[in-house]
Amino acid sequence: MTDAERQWVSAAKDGDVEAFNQLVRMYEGRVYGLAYRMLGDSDSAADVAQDTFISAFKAIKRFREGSFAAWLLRIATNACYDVLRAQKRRRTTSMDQLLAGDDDSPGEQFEDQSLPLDQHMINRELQAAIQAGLATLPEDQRAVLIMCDIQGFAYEEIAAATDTQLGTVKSRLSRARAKLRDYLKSRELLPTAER
Amino acid sequence: MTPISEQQQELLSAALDGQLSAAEQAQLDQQLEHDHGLAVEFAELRSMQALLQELPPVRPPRSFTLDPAIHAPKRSFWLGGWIRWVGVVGAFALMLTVGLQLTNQSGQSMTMAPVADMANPEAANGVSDRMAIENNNTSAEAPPMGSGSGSGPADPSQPTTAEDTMAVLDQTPEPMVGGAAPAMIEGYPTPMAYSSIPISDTAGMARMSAEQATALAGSPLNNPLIDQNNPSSPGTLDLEQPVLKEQTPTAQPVPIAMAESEPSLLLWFSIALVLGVGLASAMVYWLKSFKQP
Repeated sequence: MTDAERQWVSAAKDGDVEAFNQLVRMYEGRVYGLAYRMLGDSDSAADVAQDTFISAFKAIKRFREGSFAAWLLRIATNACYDVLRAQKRRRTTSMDQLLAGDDDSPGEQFEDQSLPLDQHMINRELQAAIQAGLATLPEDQRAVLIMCDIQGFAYEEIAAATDTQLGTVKSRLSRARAKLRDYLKSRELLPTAER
Repeated sequence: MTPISEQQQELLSAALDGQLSAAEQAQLDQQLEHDHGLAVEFAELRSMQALLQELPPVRPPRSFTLDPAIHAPKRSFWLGGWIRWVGVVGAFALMLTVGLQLTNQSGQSMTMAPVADMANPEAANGVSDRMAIENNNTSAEAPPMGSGSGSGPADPSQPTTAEDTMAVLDQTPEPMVGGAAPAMIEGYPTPMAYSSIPISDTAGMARMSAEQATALAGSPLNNPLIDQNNPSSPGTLDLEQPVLKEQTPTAQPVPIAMAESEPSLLLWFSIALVLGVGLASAMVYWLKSFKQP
C-alpha cells in the first residue's frame, strides 16, 4: 500500500466517505473488471461492484494490515460467488445470453475503440471467445486466473483475496490455464506452436 | 508425445509467472530441451497468457463512489440516546424546579399577602405599611390574638367597614382578623395564620365565585373597604398619607387570595410545562439535524 492509500484507509476508518471514495476511484476498475470477467454481464457486474464498495466501507474498521486491494477483491469475489449461486438457482445463465449474441457483449465494455474496424472486430471476437472460455471454468479457478493473468496480482495477494493457501492458488491456476488453453486451441484461437 | 502430468503442469504454470527457484528453473530448462511435447505445451501456455494480458481493461459503466449524505456513519446509538435522555431529564427537572419554586412563592404569598396585595400590586407596599402602623396603634386596644372568638374590631364603637366586607362574603370573618396581625408584625408568615381559617369561612369562599373574587379584589370600585367618595381611601391612597384608622386592616379574606392564586399557579406551571417541552423538542431537533449534516 502506498502512503496515500494508508491515509485514505485510516480516514475511511474514521468515517470519512470522501477519503474512501479516493480508494473507490483507485480500485473501481479492477473490482468491476473482476466482476465482469466472473459474471460476463455488465449490469450484474456493476451491482456487484457497488455492493462491494458499500460492504467494504461498512467493514473497513475490520481491515488490519496487508493489501487493501486483496481485501477488496476478496469481498468482490465472494459477492460474485453469491450472484453465480443465485443465477444457478434461477437457472438463468448470462453466459448463454452472451454467446447468443446479446447486445451486452464484452466488446462493448472495452476502452480501446480507436482500432481499425477489422482489427476491432477480430479483437471483439477473440475477447468474446476468451470470455466464453472463462465461463467454462469452475468459479474458484476462474477467479484465480482472472486475478493472475488479467489483473496481474501476485500469488500472495490472490491467496489473500481467495482466502486460500499459496499452494492452492498455484494448483488452481495451473488447472485453469490448462483448461482455457484447451478451449481456445479447440477453436483455433491459439497460435499453433511448432512441434 | 507423453501426456503431461499434473505436477509438470504446475511446474510450467509457475515458470510462466517466474515463481520457480533457480534450481527448479534449471531442472525445467533441462526437461524442456529433452521433451518436445513439454516445450510445445509451455509455448501454448505462454501464448494464452499473452492473450489474457493483452485484453483491454474493462470500462466501468459508471462511478461507484459513495454518497456522503447516504453513507456517512451515524452517531453511536448509546451516545445519542444518552444525550437525548439528558435533555428529557433536564427538561423535566427544569419544569419541576420552576413548579416547586412557584408553589413555594405562591404559598408564602397566600399566607402573607392580603387580598389587596394580590389584586393590586401597586398598593401592596402601602397596605403593608398601613397594617404595620395600625397594628402598632391597635395592639394596645385590641384583644390579643386568639382570645376567644372575638372579631378584629372587638370594640363595637369602631366603624366596621369590615362588616361590609363580611356582607360581600356573606360570612363574618373569624379570629383570622386579629390573628394575622402578629404574624405580619414579625414580618414572616406562619402556617397557623392559614390553617386557622374556620370551616365556615372556607364555605363562604366556596360560595363565592372566582370571578366575583377577582372583581372584588382587582377593582377598587368594588372594594367595600374603599370609600369611593373619599379621595384618601385605600384605592386612591397616597402612600404617604396616614392610614385610616377606622378601617379594619386585618380583615383580609384569605379565601379570596386562594381563589385567585390557584389559576395563577396553574398558569405559571403551564408556562413552565410548555417551556420544558419546547426545550426537549429543540434538543431532539438539534440532534436530528446533527445526524444529517
